[in-house]
This record gives sequence, C-alpha cells and structure tokens, in this order.
Amino acid sequence: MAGTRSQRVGAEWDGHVLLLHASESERCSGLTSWVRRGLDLDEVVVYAEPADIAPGRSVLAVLDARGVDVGAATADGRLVVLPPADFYSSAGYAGIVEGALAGGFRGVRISAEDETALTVLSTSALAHGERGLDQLCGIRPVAALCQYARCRTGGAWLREIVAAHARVRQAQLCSDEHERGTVLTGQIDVANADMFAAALHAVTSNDDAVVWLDLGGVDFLDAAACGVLAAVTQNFRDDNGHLLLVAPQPPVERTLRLLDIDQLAGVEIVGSEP
Amino acid sequence: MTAPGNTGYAHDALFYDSDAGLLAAAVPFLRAGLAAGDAVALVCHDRNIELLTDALGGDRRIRFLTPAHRIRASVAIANFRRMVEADMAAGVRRVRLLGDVVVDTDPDTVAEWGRLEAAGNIALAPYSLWTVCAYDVRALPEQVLTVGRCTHTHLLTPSARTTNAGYVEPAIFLRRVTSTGADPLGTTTPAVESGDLADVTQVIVLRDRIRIALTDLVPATALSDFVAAVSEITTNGILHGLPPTRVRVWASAQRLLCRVTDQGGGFDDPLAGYAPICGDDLRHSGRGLWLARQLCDRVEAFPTREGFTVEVASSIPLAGIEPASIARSAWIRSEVAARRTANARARAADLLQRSGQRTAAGAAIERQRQDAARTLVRLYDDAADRRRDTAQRRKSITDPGSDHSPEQT
Repeated sequence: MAGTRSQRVGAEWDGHVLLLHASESERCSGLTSWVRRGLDLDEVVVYAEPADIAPGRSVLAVLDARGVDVGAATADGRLVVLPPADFYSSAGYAGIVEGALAGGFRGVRISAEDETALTVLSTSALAHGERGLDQLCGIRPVAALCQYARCRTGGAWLREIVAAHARVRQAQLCSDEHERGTVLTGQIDVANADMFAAALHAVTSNDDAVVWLDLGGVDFLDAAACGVLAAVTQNFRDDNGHLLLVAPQPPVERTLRLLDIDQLAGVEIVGSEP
Repeated sequence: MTAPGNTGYAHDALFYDSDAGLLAAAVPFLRAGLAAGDAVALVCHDRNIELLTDALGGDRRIRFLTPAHRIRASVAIANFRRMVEADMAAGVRRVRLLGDVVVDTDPDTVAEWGRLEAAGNIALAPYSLWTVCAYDVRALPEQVLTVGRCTHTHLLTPSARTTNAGYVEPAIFLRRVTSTGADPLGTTTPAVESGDLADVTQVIVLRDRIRIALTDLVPATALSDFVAAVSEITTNGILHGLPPTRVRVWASAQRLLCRVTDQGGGFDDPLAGYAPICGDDLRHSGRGLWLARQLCDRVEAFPTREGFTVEVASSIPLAGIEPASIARSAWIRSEVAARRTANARARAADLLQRSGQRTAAGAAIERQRQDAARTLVRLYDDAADRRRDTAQRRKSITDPGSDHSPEQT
C-alpha cells in the first residue's frame, strides 16, 4: 500500500529535474521532498557540496532540520556527500551512477547547486553536462535535482538550462516533458514569464513541425504571458511551425481568445470550443 | 453624398424622426454598399429590419445582428475588428454597418455607450468599416442623443453626408463621460485588502486571496474574469507606478468593485487600453489594460487623495445568463469560428501530409504529430457538430422564421 502510494506521490521528483528557486526555504523544501522520494524508493542519494559551505546550508543540516533521519541514511550508505572535485570528476556522472548501481541500489539520485558546480566547471561545461545528464536519466535508473537560483539564472542561460531538463519546477509553474509534448502546470504571469518564455523556446527549438503544449494544468495565464507566447514562437510559426495549445481551462482559453492568440498564424487552441 | 475613402473607419450619425426619414437616408447608403460589393450588416431591432429589408427588396446578402441594450465597449470593438478582419480575409473591400441605438438609459449604460462611440473612432481607425448609427430622436432621451451629436465625424441625412460641427475629439469626450460617480459599494468594508505591494511575485497571493474570499458569492466565470482584470491592473501599478501599490476589493450579490492605488503620477490617457493591440502586436504594452477592459464592465483611472487610482467594476450576471454585451455579436463569432474550423481542418490535413514527407524525424515524433493532427480534426468535428445542434435547437425554439440564430459564446 505504502509502496504503491509512493510510486504516485512524488513522481514529479523523478527524472532530470531543474529546481528554480527564489528563496532558501523554497530550495530546502524542494530538496527535502526529492531526497525523501529517493529514500522511499530505496535509492542512493549522492550530493555534492563544498567542505566550506555555511553550516546551516549543508545538505545534512537542511534535511535534519526537516525531520529526515540523516544519521541512519548516511550510516547505511544511502546518503553520500561528495566534494565537488570528486562529484564532477573526469568519469562524469556515469561513473557515480554505475558505481552506485553496482553497490546494489535500485536507483541513484544526484544533486548539487549551480554555485557548487560552477566552482569546478565552466558554464559551457556545465551546460554540456546537463544535456548529457538529461539523456542518462532517460536510459538508466537515475534522477537528478539541479538547483539553480532564480536571481543567477536569466536570459540565454535560463533558456539553455530549461532546455536541458525534462522537468522544471518553479514556485508558480512546473513544466514536464511527456510522450506527446510538454505539460505545464500552475500559474503563468509577469512574475514567471521568463521561465514560460524559456519553456516555449525549448519546445519550439526541437526541429518538430508540430509542438504539443498541454495547458490543462494551468489555472491562470495573464496578458504578459500571451505577449511572450506570441513573441517567442514567432520564428517557429513563421517557419511553418504549428503550436497546439491543448485543453486550456475556460478562464485561460478566454484570455487567449480575448487577446486573439487563436488568430495568430500557426497557433491552434484545441479546447472545448473551436 | 460624399462617401469616405475605401480604407479606414468612417463613423456617421443619422438622426431621424420618422420611418420615412430613416429610409430616405439609410436605404441609399445600404444600396450603394450592395452595389459596390461591400459586406452589409444591419444591427437593428425587428421593426427597422422589416422596413429596411422591404425597401431593399429582401437582398439576401444583408447580414443581421442583434442590437444590445447593454454593451461593453471593449467587447463590441473587439467583435467589430474580428468581423472586419474575417471579411477582409474573404476578399471583401469594406463593411457597411447600420446600427440602431437601443441602449438602456441608466447612467452606467449611457456612459459605456459614449465610450464605445468615442473610443471606436480611435480603436477602429485602421479597419475598413463604415458605420452609420441611427438615433431615433422620438424615442431616445437627451443624454443619449448628446452622445450621438459629439462622437460622429459625419452626419448622414437624406440629402447629404456632411462633416459634424459638433464632433468632440475622443480623448476630450471620454474625460467628460468618465466618472459615473463614486461607487457606493466602495464605502462599505472591503472583502480583501492587499497591504503594500511592491513586487510582481506578490500578485499570485492576491489572486488566491480574492478567489478564496469571493468563491461562494460569485459565479465562476464572473469571478475568474474579475480576478484576471484585477491581476492586470495590479501588475501595471507595480510595474509602472510608484510603490506601494494597494488593492482593495468589495463585493455584493450584484456587484464587484476593486480599487488599485499607487503613488505615481499615473497615466492621463482616457484611450489607454482601447488602441488596436492584438495578435502579433501583443508584445507591446497596453495589452493588460485591453484585456481588463474586455473582462470588466468598467475600468476607470483618476487621481485621488490615496494616490493614482484605477477602479474596476463589474455587475454579477444571474447564474446561467451570459451578459448581453457578450451575447451581442455571437453571430459574428460563430461565422468567424466556422471559417476558422475550415481553415484548421485544411491545415491539420496539410500537417499530416507534410509530416509524412519528413524522413529525418523518428517514429515517435511521427506518431506524436499524427496523433496531434488527428485529435485536432476530431475535436473540431465534435465541436462543429455540437454547434450545429445547438444552433438548430435555438432556431426552432426562439426564432423559427429567421435565418440567423444567436449563439452562446
């Protein structure tokens, strides 16, 4: 019973997850859920952090403060903290993953903060690593939580990082790649329009002629988001691309239609009414 | 009669005091339109439709729309734009429209009528639409006739089309009609007070608070419209005003009211949010205000002791009844929707064909494309069937003799 439940609750923390956090409490709460999910599934959690990290921010302190039994987990070898130089070694993530799987664990979770990675990697090496990790998560029992601070992640860097992750989690909005296309959940407004823009950019840059964007889980979308939608997809649509906005909730569909998004060439709203 | 140029908006008033007076001015206008191949639409009450169609020999090219007794200026403007765009796309050179003025005479409705008549001069300027508004001087009260005299660039009479000496620039006219008086609801205790806002990340919390506070009082559509409008106005205050931005919301069983104040100088453009901003132009500013104007009965801006204030108000429709303003040009929309459906089918078929030709794509992507295109076709088919059924049902219930049937949007 508990086993089946854990399969469903928390599955949003599986795979290659980008956690775009705007505060320390957001980061810690996301990190804790992600670690709990791994421990529930009998996976090993490998975490990278520098030795000189502020005591309150260290992963063990964060988890302990939120009620995770870190003593037991570290003693069993299910929770391992590595220095960045070992974590980002020349063997890459595959080295860590295969080592842990050889140790008999059902799966591996790896996580670090953007700051930590950038102490040993260049931004281009990090971006390259993220793309490799995205593929690895698709073919091996691996989950990764990549923690990026909103304040440090903007513009082209945000687009690059969002494009490299199958899942993106931000306070107001989540983006998940599914078989059909990308599923958005949450609320989109001027406060997270940059993330929406990055997600749109990612789905329209894959060389697909038809892009499926599921809005069924979006319960609010504002005029700024409509502006972003029109602007970011412009080149894609000019190039005969078709964007399907699938199953918007009535208030969202109303906003889209009142701002004539349905009139844009290359946009189809596939909703309750034509 | 001096006809306007073929492009752009022409806006005439026709004041009449007899059937003969109406026909003598309107029939040549409509007949010339039919002869020139213009699209011709009558937005008239039944009696005038009968008079005019008889006089025109029942020409089947004439389109009929139902005039509204209550309107929302922004929605009417949006629908006129869509109608003209759809006709232009179909190769029509210009749309001629004759409209009866039938609005209710309560102050709010007259003020909103004035906003439509005045703002339309700017908002519809790029559209090839020649509108003649017919004012029955026997039936309409003085304040409605005054709106007519001030907001039309031309007057149409049986003998001539002349420039209107009484025309007032829209911006000046709108300043006059705004402020229908302080909303009495605003003297009661607010249902929600935001506290000081300075960052757009706080707006999501405000939206949730308003939803929670009003969910039992207000039907879902009215509430989501109001919340979206408040969200836009608040965002504008935070982004373009000076902090702190404060939001208060009041609600009764009949009305919703919101005041957003900030400490900046505000904007002094009564036409803000009416200018043509749509489609590919959406990235420009003003779209939030344009959306808010379409979602609410009234959006007004003015300075107060508390700072620059934008007031948003809506009446709450009885459950199950769409506001008249929205029903107004359902007919226009249904025609546009039918055209769009046909286009979508053609495009979906095209997508299928093209995706078959792309060899580089993997099987999964191929499947995904075809699923998407198939689903699209199916959904559009289902919706078209539903719409036909509904239209037929309504037609048989409400209006067995007519060949147009208003339809819920």
